[in-house]
Amino acid sequence: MNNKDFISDISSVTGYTVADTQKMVNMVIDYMTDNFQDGNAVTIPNFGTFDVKKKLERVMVNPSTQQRMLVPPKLVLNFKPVVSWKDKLKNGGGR
Amino acid sequence: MQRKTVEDIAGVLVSRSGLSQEDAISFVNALFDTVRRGLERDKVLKIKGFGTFKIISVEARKSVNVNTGEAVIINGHEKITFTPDSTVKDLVNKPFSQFETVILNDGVEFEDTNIGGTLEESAYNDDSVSDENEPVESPVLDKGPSSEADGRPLFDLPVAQDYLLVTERGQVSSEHVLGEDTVSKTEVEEMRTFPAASIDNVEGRMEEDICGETENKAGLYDGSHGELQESDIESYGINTESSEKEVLLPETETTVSEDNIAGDYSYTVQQDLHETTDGQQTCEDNGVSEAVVTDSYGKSDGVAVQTEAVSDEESEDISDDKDSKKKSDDERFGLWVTLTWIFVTLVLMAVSAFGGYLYRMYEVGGNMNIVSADVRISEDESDADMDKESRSSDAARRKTGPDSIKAINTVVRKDTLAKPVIAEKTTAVADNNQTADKKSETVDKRSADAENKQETMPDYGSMDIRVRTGAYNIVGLNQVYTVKSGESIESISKRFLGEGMECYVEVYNGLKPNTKLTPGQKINIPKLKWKKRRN
Repeated sequence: MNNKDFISDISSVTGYTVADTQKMVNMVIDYMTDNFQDGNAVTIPNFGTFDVKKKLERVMVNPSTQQRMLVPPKLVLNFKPVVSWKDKLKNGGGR
Repeated sequence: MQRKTVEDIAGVLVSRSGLSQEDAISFVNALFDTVRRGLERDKVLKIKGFGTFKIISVEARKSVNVNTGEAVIINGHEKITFTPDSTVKDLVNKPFSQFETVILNDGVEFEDTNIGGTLEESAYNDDSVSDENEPVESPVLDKGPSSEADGRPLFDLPVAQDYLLVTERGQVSSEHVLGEDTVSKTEVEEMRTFPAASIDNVEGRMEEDICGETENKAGLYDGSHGELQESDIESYGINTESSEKEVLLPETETTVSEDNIAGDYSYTVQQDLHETTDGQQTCEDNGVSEAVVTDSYGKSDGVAVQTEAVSDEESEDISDDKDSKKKSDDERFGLWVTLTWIFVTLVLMAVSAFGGYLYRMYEVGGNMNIVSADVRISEDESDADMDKESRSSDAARRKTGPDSIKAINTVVRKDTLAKPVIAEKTTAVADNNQTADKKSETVDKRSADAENKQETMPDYGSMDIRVRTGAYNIVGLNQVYTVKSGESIESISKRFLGEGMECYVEVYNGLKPNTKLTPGQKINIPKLKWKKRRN
C-alpha cells in the first residue's frame, strides 16, 4: 500500500480532505520523529511501540570480500508490535 | 526519556491544526488503525517521510527447547517489521552521525563484540538498502530547525550532548556532515585500528585513552547482546563518558591518537571541556584551555599546534580539533620532558657522588700524579705535621730550586699517611744527591737525615689497618712502661694516650689485639702525631 492509498484511506475514514489528512499525518510523523531524537518512545495502543535503541559497535565481515569491518555504534528506531497483534499473526496467519 | 502516547500526539494536532482534542485523538487512532488494516491486507505499507511496515512470512524451522534440549519445531508464521525512512534514521542517529564503518586491519581483536550482528539487525540492514534507493523527499534541512531549536541531546548523556554542541556550533547541515565524514573516516580508522594493548604506559587510565576505548567497550559488553534497554543506554553513556568523548570530540582527532596520551593530562583537559559543556561550550572556552595547555609545556607545543592546525585547515576546523590534538601531543611531550629531567637528576647525583669519592681518595693521598701547584699547597698546609727538621729541610730544598720530582717526593712523604714508601724516598734521596750541587747536597743530606730518621720507623700502617686509617702517626717512642698485675693493653693505652688508642700500642709493640699482659712486661708507649687531614 503506497503512501497515496494510505492517505486516501485515512481521509475516507476520518472525513478530512486528502490534502488535510496528508498534512496532519505529516504533523504526527514530525512530532514522533522529534521525540525519537530526544530519546522518547511512542506507544500506540493496539498497534505497538516505537522506541530508540542503541546498537553497540560490532565487527562485521563482508561475505563476498571477506573484509572485516568495524561498524560504529548507532541509535536505531525500533518498532515492537503490540502483543495481541503479533500473536494473532504468529498463530493465525501461518501458511 | 519519556513515553509519549496518543494524547501527546493529539496535542500537537490540536495546537497546529486547530482540531479539538477529541477529534485529534480519533484522528490519530484512525491513522494507526489504517496502518494495521492496510498492512495486514497488502503486507507492505509505506508512509512517506517515516518508513515502511512489512509483514514477512517466516517458514517453519527446527529448533531446540533450551530447557529440555529436545528438538522442537517452530511453525511458519508471520512477523511485523518496520524500517525507518533514511531521513528518520539519520535524525535518530544524529548523535552518532560522525561515525563511519571502517575496514579492520588484520590482528585487531574484538573478542567481546557481537560478530555478525543480531538477526534483527541483519534484517534491518537488508531492508535499508532498498530504502536508500528511494528518493529523499524531505531533505535533512527540513528537520533541521526543529532539532536545532531544541538543542537538547538525544539522551541525557554528556556524550551526546558534547557531540550535538560540537556539531551545532559547526552549523550542521547534511553537506557539512558529509564533508566531515571523509576526514573523520581516516581518523576514525587510525583511531580504531590501533591495537588497544600498545598504549599501556598510562596506568589506570585506560578509560580515557582513545585507544583504550576498545577495552572499555569490552567492559560494557558484559550482559549486553547488541541491544540495550533504556537503563543500559544511560549507564553506557555514563561509563563511557570519557572514552566516548575522546572518540567523538574529533573524530577529528588525527594522527596524534597514535602517540601516547599521558593519562592525567588528557583527563584534566577532558574534564575542562566537559564541565564547560553544560551550556555554552564556545570556541573561546576551548581557546582558553588551549592556551593553558601551551603555557604549561612551552614553545615546542606551539609548534606542534601549528603544524596540526595547518593540516586541519583542510577539514572544516572546529577548535576542538586543536584542543585534543595538541593536548595529546602535549601529553606526549610532557611525559618525555619529565623522564628526561628524572634521568638528568640521577646522572648528576651519580657524578657528584663519584666526584666526592675521588676527592676523598685524593685527600688520602694515594694519587701521585698531582700537579706541583697542588702539591705546594698541600705542603704548606701540612707544615704543622712536620718535625722542625723536616720543615727546614723542605724550605731549604725549595730554595735550591727543587725539581718537580723532589716536590712530589716530599708530598709523598708527608701526605701519604703512614704509608711512606721507603724505596721511593731512597730514590729521591739518591736523585737529590746526584743532581744537586754541593750546597744542595749538604742540604739534601740534612733532609736525607731527617728522612732517614723517619725511615727507621717501620711501616705501621701496612701492618694494621687501624693505624693506616687512624688519625695519628707513630713518630717515635714516648716512654717504656712496666705492666703491673691486672692491667691490659686497653687500660694502659687509655691511661697514656686516651680512649680508643690501643691499636697504636699494639702495633708499636707487635702485639695482637687483646693480648693478655704479664706483670713486669715492658710496653713501649708510642709518641703520636695528629695527621691533621682536613684541609
